[in-house]
Order: sequence, then structure tokens, then C-alpha cells
Amino acid sequence: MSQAGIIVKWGAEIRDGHCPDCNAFLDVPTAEDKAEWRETKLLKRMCSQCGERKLGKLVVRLGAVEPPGGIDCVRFSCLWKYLLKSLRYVLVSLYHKHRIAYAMSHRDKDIPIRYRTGEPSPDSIWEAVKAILRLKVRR
Amino acid sequence: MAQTQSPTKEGYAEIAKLVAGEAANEVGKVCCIKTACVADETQTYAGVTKCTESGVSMVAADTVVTSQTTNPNDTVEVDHVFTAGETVTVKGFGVFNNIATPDVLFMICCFASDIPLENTDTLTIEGKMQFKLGS
Repeated sequence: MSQAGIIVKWGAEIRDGHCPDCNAFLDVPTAEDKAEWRETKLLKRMCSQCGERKLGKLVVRLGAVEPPGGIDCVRFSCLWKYLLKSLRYVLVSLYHKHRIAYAMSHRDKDIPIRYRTGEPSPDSIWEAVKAILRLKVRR
Repeated sequence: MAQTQSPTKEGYAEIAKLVAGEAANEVGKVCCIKTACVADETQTYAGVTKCTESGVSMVAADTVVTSQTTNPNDTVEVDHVFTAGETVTVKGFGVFNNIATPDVLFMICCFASDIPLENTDTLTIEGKMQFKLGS
């Protein structure tokens, strides 16, 4: 018996709908704007006041955190490694949850770009704990 | 807590029907989800609370194509740009079948945190379903 499956991944990005220069509302994206976005991953929209296509300010970028894979042995060392991987997953996910809430609640303020992009993302348990604590202090 | 995502049992059945040549519809529509979002395979079209607000309601996806993650054409990629027409809080998004009134949820993605969108904000999404051996 095989173990074929479906893996779902996703990403999302929220950008402000105001012109970064004149603060007027940007137009609804056209088919051309969307076609360019698919190529460049940058969604530029027309500002009717400036007469130019502008990129709305990045509010926050979202993405999935890769969960740990399954356990492949029952030795104590394997279980311990799995426990650490799971703890890392929980803490990194928690960091991104707080980061997104922080970026959304400070959408019009200047905050470090890492909270908007999520990069660099903490990689280890210790880095994630430090990042969460730093964010808690900011909030 | 974490941002979560899942294909659904409803989607498995629809994919199986497509492979068997039975009556079924391909992936084609997307919609934002509000009120509550739970990403697991028991979710259904009828079970999720779909946004009806301007700009984030059910709509044909901008792009549905196959792409390569590991092997050629092993992934279905759905891209879309939502432009909020009013203030609305979204909790995730779903990918649905391509008929006038969809009835199958293929996959669901839930954000880690509520996303309050303001008028004219854009939410760009890229969903990928990869078919492969193992998990």
C-alpha cells in the first residue's frame, strides 16, 4: 500500500489601498495589474490623482509554518527530537501569530520591517522565545 | 494558534470523480471566511461561514494552473487578489469548485490571527495543492 497524499501550502499578503505619495485611494486592480503581479509578485495599482501606478504599503505578509514530520522510531532519542521539533513549531507559530496581530494593529505606524514580512523567521526554540519576548515588550 | 491549512474530504471525493470521469467540477472559485475558521478535512462548503462583503465574497479565482513543486505539474496553484470594498475582518480563505453556485470546498486555509481589512486594502493569496507520495 502506498502513502500518496495531498499537501496544501499557501501564502498571503495584505497591502494598504492608499497611494504612498498623495494618500488618495488606489484604483481597483485591473487585469493587467494582476497579470504583472503573477510575474513579479508586486501588485501595482493606478493612483488617479498622481496618474501613476503605485505599490500600496505592505501591511503584513502571512504564511504557513511547516509542522514537524511524523516519528519514524520509538527510541527515546527519536521521541526527544520530535518533542523539540514540536515545541519549535508551536513557538514559531506563536511568534507569527503575535507578529501579524502587531503589524495589523500598527498598520499606519513605522515598525521594523521584519514584523511585516515575517523574515527572518526565528529558527530555533531559543530564537523564537527571544522574538516573542521582544514583541511582547513592544506591544 | 498556528496558521493552518487542509484539503477536505469533500475535495477528495470531487477529485476522485474527476479522475474517474464522473460528473464533477474543477477548482475555480475562492472566498474569504469569517466568524470562525477551522482547517481540517471534515470542513465542507455548507459548514464554513463565507464572507458576503464586497470584494471578499465568492468569486472566480484570477488564476488556476498546474505547476511544479517536486515533479512536473504535480501541483494545483490558485492565485487571487481580493480588494476589500468595505471594512471587514477575515479569518482565512477557501478554494471551491467552479460552478455558478459552488458546493464543494477543496481546501481551507486559516490565518494565525484575525485580519481586519479596510476599504481598498488588497489581500493577495496563493494556494497550492501538491499531489505526492508520502506526507
